[in-house]
Amino acid sequence: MLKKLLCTLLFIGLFVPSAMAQSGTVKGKVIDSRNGETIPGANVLLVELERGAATGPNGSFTIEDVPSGTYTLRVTFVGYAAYEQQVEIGAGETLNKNIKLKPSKIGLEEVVVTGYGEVDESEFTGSVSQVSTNDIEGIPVSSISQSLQGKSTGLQISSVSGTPGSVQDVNIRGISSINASNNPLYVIDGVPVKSGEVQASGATSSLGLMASLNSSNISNISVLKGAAATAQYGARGSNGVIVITTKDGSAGETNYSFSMQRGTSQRAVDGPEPLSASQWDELYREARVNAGLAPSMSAAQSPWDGQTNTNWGDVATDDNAVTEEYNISASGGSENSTYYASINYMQQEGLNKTTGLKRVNARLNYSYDFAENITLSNKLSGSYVNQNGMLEGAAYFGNPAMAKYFMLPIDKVYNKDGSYNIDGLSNQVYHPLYILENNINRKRTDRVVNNTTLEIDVSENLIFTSKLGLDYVTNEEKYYDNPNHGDAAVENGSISDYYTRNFNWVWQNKLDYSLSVSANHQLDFKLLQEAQQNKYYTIQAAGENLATTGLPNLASTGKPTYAYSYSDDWSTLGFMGSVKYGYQDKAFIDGTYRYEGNSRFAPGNRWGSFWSVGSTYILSKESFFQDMDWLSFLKVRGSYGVTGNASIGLNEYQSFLSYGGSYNGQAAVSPAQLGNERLTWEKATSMEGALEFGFFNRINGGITYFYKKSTDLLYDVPLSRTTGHNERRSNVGSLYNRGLEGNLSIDVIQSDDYQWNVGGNITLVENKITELPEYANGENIIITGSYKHTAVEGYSIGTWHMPKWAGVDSQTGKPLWYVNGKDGATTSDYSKAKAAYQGASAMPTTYGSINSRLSVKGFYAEASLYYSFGNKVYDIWADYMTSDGQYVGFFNQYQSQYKNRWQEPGDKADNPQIIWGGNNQSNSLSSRYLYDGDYLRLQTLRFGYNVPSSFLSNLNVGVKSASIYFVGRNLWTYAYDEDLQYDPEVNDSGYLDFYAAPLETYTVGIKANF
Amino acid sequence: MKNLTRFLVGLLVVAGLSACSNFLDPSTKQNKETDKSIQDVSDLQSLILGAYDRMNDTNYYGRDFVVYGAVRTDNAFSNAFSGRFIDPSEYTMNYNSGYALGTWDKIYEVIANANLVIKSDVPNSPKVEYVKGQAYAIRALAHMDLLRLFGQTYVSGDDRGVPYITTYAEGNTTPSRGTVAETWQKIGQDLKKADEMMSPSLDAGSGGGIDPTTITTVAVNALRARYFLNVGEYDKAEREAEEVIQSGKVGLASASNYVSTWGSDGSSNTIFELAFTGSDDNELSYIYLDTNYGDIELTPELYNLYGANDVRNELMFVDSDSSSYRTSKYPDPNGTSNVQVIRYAEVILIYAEALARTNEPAAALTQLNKIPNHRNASTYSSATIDNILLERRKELAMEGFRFYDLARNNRDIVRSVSGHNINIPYGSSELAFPIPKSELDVNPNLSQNKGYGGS
Repeated sequence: MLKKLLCTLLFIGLFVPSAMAQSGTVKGKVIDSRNGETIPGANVLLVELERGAATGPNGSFTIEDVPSGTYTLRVTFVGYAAYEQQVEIGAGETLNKNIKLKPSKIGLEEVVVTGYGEVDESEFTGSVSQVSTNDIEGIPVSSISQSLQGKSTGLQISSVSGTPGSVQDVNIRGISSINASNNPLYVIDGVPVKSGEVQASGATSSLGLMASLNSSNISNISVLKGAAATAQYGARGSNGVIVITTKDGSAGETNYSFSMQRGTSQRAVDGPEPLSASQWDELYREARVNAGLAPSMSAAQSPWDGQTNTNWGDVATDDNAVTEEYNISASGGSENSTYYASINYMQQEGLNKTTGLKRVNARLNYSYDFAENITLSNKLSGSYVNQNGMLEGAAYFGNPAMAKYFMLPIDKVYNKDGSYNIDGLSNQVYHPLYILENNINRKRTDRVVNNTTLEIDVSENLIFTSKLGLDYVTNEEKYYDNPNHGDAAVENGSISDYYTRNFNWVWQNKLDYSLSVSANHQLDFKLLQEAQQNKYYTIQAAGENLATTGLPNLASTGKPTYAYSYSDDWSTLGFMGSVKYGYQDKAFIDGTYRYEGNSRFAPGNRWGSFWSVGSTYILSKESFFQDMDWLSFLKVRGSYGVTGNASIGLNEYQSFLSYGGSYNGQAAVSPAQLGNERLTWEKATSMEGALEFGFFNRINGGITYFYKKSTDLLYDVPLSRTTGHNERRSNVGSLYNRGLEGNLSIDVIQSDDYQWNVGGNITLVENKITELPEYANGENIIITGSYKHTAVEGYSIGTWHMPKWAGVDSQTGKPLWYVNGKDGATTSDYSKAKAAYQGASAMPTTYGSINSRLSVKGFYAEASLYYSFGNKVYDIWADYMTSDGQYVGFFNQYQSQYKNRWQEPGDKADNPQIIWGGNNQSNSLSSRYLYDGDYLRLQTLRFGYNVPSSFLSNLNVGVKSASIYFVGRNLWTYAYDEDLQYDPEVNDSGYLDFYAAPLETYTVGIKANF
Repeated sequence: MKNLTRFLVGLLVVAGLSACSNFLDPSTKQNKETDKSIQDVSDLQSLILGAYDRMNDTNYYGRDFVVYGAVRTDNAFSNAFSGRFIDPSEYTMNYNSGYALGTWDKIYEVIANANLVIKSDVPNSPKVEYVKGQAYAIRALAHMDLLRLFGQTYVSGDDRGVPYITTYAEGNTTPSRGTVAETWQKIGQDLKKADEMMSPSLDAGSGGGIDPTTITTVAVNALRARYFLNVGEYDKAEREAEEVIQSGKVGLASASNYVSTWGSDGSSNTIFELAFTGSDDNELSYIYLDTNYGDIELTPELYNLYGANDVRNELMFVDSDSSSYRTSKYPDPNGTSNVQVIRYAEVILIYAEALARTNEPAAALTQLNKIPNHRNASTYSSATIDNILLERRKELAMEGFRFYDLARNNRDIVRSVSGHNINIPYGSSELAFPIPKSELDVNPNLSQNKGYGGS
């Protein structure tokens, strides 16, 4: 009876509601097709109903009360290809869908974050590369820009120093300016921020502001290239824009995430070997004999004790440099508020003892809906970065990277009593370990970035947004030089303290208006006003004559020597308007205009106009392509426009007297700058055309041609020094960068349990200077340097220009150079060897990466190979280390000098005869020290395992997902030029200099959500 | 909603108006605009101090210029310890030389300061005249140094001087080179102008002396004596030297005091010296002493020149670490020793030489022997040019005089030091520095010196 009743009730329960409301439910889970991780915050929509839901922390969603019928279910999330499927929902039915979203490098329906808004990628007329959180999270690098290397076409990133936290060189689509900055604009959560570094000393390791960011907080990085993409930033868009977006919370229960990783580092590239003591001894004697200073090898006494054999490169090396990082985050929200909060701690030790970086970063992103149409959101991030660095980047006597080659192997590291041998060294270079342990070389950066956004939906299609961004950075630098040994031994120790503050604020007011003229015609308008101001201040003091050792503050200096403060500021004001027209979701045209003023130019030349037009056409949406099943996507796009660059020093339009000098305790005045009232914007006219395609839903790719012509270059025109000035900034000359960018991603295997993707990208860039200013006599004003020509018409920026090495005369052992600098006749007289173009510049012409990822059930393995070709690099200190006798007695030498030297007639050798005093000038500037810079590097190797969620739920400990992984960084490097033993990755200067070696890092990590 | 829209429009209008305000004017907190900032005599004085400050630079009197006068001769050589001064020492300079460029730049920068003072329209007064006179003297000294370094002054078969700059940021900015004689003539005119404009009553100083850290009328007389000696107008050189002596404001340090005058600032035996304080670096001590770079060693020949009792011996020593010969004329290892540009002893020796060259051997000998008499050294029996040059070598050693003393007397430059031998006959093109390539690149009106090829 009871049973019957229940059955009846059940029967009623099933049929009565449907008979009344005819509705059903769609629910399910959204997961990453690659690693099976759930995706919170994805947008699930029943298109026809315009009803949807966001997925909760564990990726699940529910849409209730769905009238029965057939709908298009559409799921979108940043960084993934959109998912669309027809679903049929019967009355009273609950449809359970598990949806796998495919991560997409060139997503089919991806959203592009431009900083001023979001645009569907298919509608975007410009060039953008998006890097998702998967690409950068867990990579053991201290600075996010390092992890971007190879991830985007057109983006070239090079690290100079291996010291954790140091600044990277970042160029987008080549070098577009000779003298103004080539750094892109960085935008975080819609607000342009300070980039580069905030530090007063140039002699020590650099500490970049990118090191203050925590990669785990980042949901997306967009690299904007070309006119249409960067036009909204118009005035500052010439060098490209890097837009960083941090994570937001989403409504639902709180999701906690924890990750940690730990590992060790060693040298990625060892660099040339110095001589051992016995080799040095042999060279020493041979040099003396060859110079006629000793009758025989045995008679030539060298100062070697016959036992000591020190490799000074090893003395200060930390063989167990630890890297570790911990992240905890929580995100969630309610109906009208969401939050994301995180704490991060990172520590990376450098390869030179005592060097390294520590970072603490915390973030709170909070959003609150005041009313149905008003949202207030705030993104706050605070960070503390401590870098212990060293003197590097030049032959400072206290540079540990230089000690390896300059210090003699015959010198002992320790005295008999175990103390450091600081008094018995053969030359002036300082004991590297003593210096590292007894000096302080420290930078501490505190940074707070806060963005407050008020968004008001004035009407259904008019949105007003006001945003205030604050970026506050302070940097403390402390340099303590001990009184016993090193740079300050004479002064009995010295201390320098620098404090620098940079405050940057941006205020944006924006109106977005969208208008559907008809079903086929859509118009979007945007109006923006933006003001920005940057204020910089530094105060510095130094003293010497220390009362004791180990007290790091100026209070313990006996004699103050230096007091200084300085401040400057700059400001910009911009107005921007844009309009976008869309036809049937398949063809789009947009236009942008920006009018901007900049305090770097004189009134009258302050304002510039920048604009772009772009269009795109999604051919695959046309009916005539619908039949071609193999073609999943096809789009053409193109853009044309003018952007600007004003990244020069401040106040350069003004002629100045400097009051910074002093003479005999009195303030001294000197003319410091010859200004130029006519100075104005450098402009870049860009055009691009691109094709994006997808075949069989497996092969996605794109190819882009770009041409960017920079005119009115902000150029330091050299002056006759008789004016008392070296140069004056002027707008002269032009150059272009043109090239091709290509990317391809192939899903070779695509099944539920097995996935294998192979992909890669390539960028080809050609740089050429087309016009330079002229002197009165009609000759071009070129900028030459001793090693290379910075700017010569018809050549790339920074072409190597020097005499060409022709080897060693096998009969005489003398050096040879080509007379004309190219080929043919040779000479052993350096003064007769002409300097000539050596066939390459310091900048790579081809770069990119090859990637592969294999996943089998929960296991995955991925590798990323970075490559860079087409440049040459120059070893600027080789003249000391292959001195052919000139410095043998004073400094150590490269081992190559020993192994391949001329000794008797007939010897075929790379290095001339070693003669004490070495006056044959063989080590003078020539292509002898110029190497091909081409290289390949196994940049990232990752293995991991995602614990199945079924297993985790059975455990019932609240863990929703967990993964464990291994990451190797810079595991293998191949330099094409076998003579190039240094790390081939150098910055745009092309100079191999004494920097800390790059890190090869191995880490293991775990990540869990609960 | 209407109110909100109004508010928004208002906001944008207000924001737009800020374009017209001074929001985009940058502040200048360290510098002042040149054309608005030279108003009175104290501004002019500050610019003169700026000129001294620039003369203190490492590329000029702060090291390089002084070293050139020594390292290119039989007095000293570079041991290449830190790689410095090898090219000047071995006469292997080329047009890319950093030494040529650095010194060329710095001297013309000093001249720019002088010209800003000379060209200023600050209303005239005796004080303004005095400061402008100092500017003329600085301009003359700077060009004299340029001429002797870069002019074809001691090179046979060529007579190109150096560009003589008398304006700032106006007129022809790519000047050409006059002849050596024309350059000397302009130097003479500037010195004459300085002499006329400066009143001794305005000389800085106390207790009957002068403050040698600035250019005084005594310094102008001494510079004129040096100038006339160089151009061979010996009777005029005598007259200027006499004026210095008669001023009574400077004197010769006694044998017992002499050594201590090195390292003590502002002693009464200097006429003009550049003041170095804690904020400067007199790198002469870095390069001369073995505690720092230590590249410049004395030749054994110079070291052995002094008699046993000669107090100047104390300024020359053997470094125990490196067994090299060194001088302690700039003793402060922190680089705060002043650099003497004109010492009273030089004026006495100029006087002696001028007298010798005008056939007054007795008077010349009296003047010459004043120096050894004040140094516990043996005196001379006759004032031959050789003896005068020998005494100049001993007295002014390592102060930057030796090269010019040899060159202006048409002597060959011979140094015999193992591994550092040189033999540069008089008239060789190496006696002039190359014109820096960076200058030739931008100035089509200049041409390279002999022997340095094209650029």
